[in-house]
Amino acid sequence: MSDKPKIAIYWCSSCGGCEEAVVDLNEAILDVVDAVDIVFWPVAMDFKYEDVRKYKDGELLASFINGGIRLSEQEEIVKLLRKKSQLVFAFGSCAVMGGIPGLANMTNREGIFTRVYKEIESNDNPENRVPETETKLDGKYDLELPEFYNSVYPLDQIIPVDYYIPGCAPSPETITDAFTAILEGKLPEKGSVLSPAKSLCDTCPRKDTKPDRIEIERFVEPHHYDKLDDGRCFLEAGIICMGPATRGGCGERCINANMPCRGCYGPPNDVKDQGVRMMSALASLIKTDKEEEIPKVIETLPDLIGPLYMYGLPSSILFRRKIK
Amino acid sequence: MTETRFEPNIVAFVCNWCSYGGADIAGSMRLKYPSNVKLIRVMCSGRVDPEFIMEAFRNGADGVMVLACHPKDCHYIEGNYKALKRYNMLKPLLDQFNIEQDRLCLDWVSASEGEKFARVSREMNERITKLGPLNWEKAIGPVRSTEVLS
Amino acid sequence: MKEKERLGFFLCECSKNISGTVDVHKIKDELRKLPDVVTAEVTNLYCSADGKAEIIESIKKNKLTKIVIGGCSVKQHEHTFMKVLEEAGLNPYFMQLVNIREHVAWVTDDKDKATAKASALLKAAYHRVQFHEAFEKKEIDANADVLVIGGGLSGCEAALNLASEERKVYLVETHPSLGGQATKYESSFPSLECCSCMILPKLQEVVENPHIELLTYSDVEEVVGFFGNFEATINKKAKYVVPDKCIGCNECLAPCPVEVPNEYDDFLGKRKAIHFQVTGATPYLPVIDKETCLRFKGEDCTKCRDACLFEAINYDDEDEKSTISVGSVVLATGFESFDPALIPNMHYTPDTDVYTALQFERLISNTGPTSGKLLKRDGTKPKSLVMVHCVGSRDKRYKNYCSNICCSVLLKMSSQILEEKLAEGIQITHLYRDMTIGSTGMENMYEKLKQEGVGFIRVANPNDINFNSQNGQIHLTLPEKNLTADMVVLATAMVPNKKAEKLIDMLMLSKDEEGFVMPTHRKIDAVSTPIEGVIVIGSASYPKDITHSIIDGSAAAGKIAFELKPGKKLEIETLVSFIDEEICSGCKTCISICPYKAIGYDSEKGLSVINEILCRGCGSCVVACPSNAITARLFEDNTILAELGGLL
Repeated sequence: MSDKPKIAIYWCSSCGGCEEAVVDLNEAILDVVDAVDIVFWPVAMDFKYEDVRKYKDGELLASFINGGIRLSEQEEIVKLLRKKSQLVFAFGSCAVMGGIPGLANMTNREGIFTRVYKEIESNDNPENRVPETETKLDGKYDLELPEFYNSVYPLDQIIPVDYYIPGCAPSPETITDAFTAILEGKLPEKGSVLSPAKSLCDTCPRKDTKPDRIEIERFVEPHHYDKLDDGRCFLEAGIICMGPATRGGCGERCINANMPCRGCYGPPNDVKDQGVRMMSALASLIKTDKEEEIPKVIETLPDLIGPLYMYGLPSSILFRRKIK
Repeated sequence: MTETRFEPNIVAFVCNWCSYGGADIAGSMRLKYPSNVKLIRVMCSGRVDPEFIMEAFRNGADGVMVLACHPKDCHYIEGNYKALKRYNMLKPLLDQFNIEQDRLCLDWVSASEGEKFARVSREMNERITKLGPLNWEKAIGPVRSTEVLS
Repeated sequence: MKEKERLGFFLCECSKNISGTVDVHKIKDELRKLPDVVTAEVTNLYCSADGKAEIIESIKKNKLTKIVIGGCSVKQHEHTFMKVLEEAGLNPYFMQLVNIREHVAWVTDDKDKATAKASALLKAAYHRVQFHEAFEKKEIDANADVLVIGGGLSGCEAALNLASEERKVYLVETHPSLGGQATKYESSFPSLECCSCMILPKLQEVVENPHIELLTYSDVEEVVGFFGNFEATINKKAKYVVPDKCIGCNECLAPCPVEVPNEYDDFLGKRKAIHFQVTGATPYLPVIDKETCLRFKGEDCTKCRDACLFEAINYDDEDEKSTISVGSVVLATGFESFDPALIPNMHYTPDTDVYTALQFERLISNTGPTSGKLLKRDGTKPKSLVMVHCVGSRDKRYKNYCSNICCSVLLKMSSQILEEKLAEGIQITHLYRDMTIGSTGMENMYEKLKQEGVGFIRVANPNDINFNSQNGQIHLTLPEKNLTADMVVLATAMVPNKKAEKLIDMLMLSKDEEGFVMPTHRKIDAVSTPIEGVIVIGSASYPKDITHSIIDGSAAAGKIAFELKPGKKLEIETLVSFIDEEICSGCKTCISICPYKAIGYDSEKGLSVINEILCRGCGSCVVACPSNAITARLFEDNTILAELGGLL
């Protein structure tokens, strides 16, 4: 058994992109493997839950957990990892704030099961069966499935989280900076997000084109706009760029690809609910003052939760849509 | 058997220069309106952050009112127009969360409109009583983190 | 570590006004049990001398850090209790006054419900007040000098009422002389008083005032800064005439070979390249117009200098730029005439016997192109004159407002023509929509004119009249009656001076739909603007007559004298907002929001910055900021959320 610090990487309700982000470190991953022992990484290594349970409490230096929590199994394992780890890092937007899976908070288990298992046109499910936590197969085999929660939760609503590594997925720079900080013992105070505190506008390549006065006459979706590559600030054209309400550190990969920011790095330091902040900013910039005209401007944006809460619905003030 | 009648919890944001004064006049005129309407004073309706409104609903409010100066009368020139724009964007957003649009109301009350203040408060109380309690905590099911307000 | 709070509640019975409905004693006992509450008291009248003394004693005895008062309206007694706190040695902002009288006791029937509501409001205040921070009054150095832009009657009045030993006034006028549009009028209404006799003494006072630095033939190119600390760049155009040497003999005019249409006569007559603005101009100094003088086209013409016996002509003169520091700026840029060529059916061209009112003033003025003789362009005397009111006015197609003075002006002109017998036997007819003559004496003038045979025909909309010039006469076709006249005068709308547009934008002033500068409030604060320290007077904010233009000038002087005292520091609003540099990313959302233009962008740092002198603390920017970088003092997010939490 080596003396290297032990780390675990675990995925909950996720797409696998965060795992790929680790692999995206390319050669740098060899430095990581040199410095630490990865003792649990379901996607890449054959360790079992049992192996994790055998460790002493706090024996692992750090667990990097990505994905939102919506299954009882996920809750169980993240709680296990919390016990066994000195530090827990919420890795990626889903763990930090719920992520895109978090949009499932617009519905609930019943809604999802009905749609997925009953309604979908290509289903072959004549008995309308839905997943159950306990099933007896052929009268003799007991099969168990985790419980499927009604809502998706960010990691810190299930277990205490020490640090947050934001992004969908976190950029190689963000990950490298975080790993370096850990290995050099230079982590900031607990609860910090390991990415610059200021919003994206601070480092945005289009910042200089942003006029001092922005007046929105209507909202425009990127695919309806033909000058995305003119290098000018998106908000000027009425395109929703979440940049002003999104923390920086991602390298502006989307902006450099001529697409507006969608907010995956989460809100800047002093903001809890990213969506309502951006909504306030956008509403404040509407040009017309006329009572009859204002709703018409807002109607050009038929879906508000989509752009405003794409990654952060479970960490928002209202948390989820109420099911009638 | 007596049923406990639902008494709405309504928060009204009033601005220092107009609607707070309107509430004062309602008082001087001894006009009666339901005690369910509780006031929070800000200097300008433009200070009312949609975040406050969401927190209000999250933490037990059944209805929220924003009472501002009439158009063109804002002491700070255009704060009431800002409030109007934010309100117009917040309503459909709340609707997407399935918070009934009638639970949020914005109206213009000047410093002399005691009657209007009382009427608007009464009407809001009636609307919310009909809609019933919002009970957001219960509606969203158990949440595992610490509460967001101090 | 923050010291523990020691909070006190003071519930006022308000002589039964509160305690008659709200059970203050019950609430007092409840509140006493809250954490960190050291005392909860009740008294009959806290605003009385005894009541106030009780609070002070309790604060000192209990070593209270902050207090909550349950009483009447903030508008009645917030200041009272803030003073009480100061006397007790606490920062005046360490309190919250909860209205349980107007907002609870007086409006609730059920006593239990009233008590419950009062209790909830007081608990909300308990949570809120713990977030209150100590705020101190702030003062900054300020320059008391004033820049007046525009040397018309309103500008001159402002300058005269402000200039003193301790306060210098810079008066900048783009034309060579003072007086603005009023120098064009021969007479004024209602008494037909000689206009120049009336205004020249005032203009002369300006010239002679040692505390007014008069910069004529000059333009303000830039104004930066803020109230108390403006900096303006002024370009003094080269006059090519030395003021100290010129005695105003006029000898330089005749030899000048250049003759161009005279813009001061609204292009009726002609002037030379070297010219006086008008006969009797103040200051009485000619200038050489660079645009038309032959020397600036390469010729070595020296005719004017050769004719001058006083060596007053200096061809080497140059434009001079200077920067001045002032504390306040007065915008008095006035009006110009609506262009009737914009009304297609009038077929207006500038060379016929159809005149605008301003042009006509020159025609009947002793200092005008015909020395006051009323003659047609062909030199003959007109026998019929039609005066058309409301041209370009009160009409959504053109300008949708009334310019206040035109009806009076046309009546005045009619009176002047008849009284001074400028055209014997002339038939004058007015085509008017409404006779809008609200000033003193005008009704009498109207009656007199009617008696003297002046015709008044009421028409639905003068802008619909069709004009057709034929055989030296003008045919007017309109539904009410067709007319033919030798001469027509159009009372055109007064519109904002176009040359002032750049200045208005530079000063970040707002304009209304018609282009006039918007004051803070049209009724109760009509010379101030939302831009602190910038005052707008005269017709720059709305068409005015001489009387009200001059009144505006005095009003401006009054405002500035009160707000900007020489030698005194400026006290600025305490409860203003500020931006945290560590959080601000320079997204500029807030800059668009502020109506006082108090937020600027620092391009070096890439941040937005609030000028605390201009901020009024409304908090609109706080809500707009997507990074939560802005804090509004006393109304911080945490403070309001604490109050909200306590309430629910």
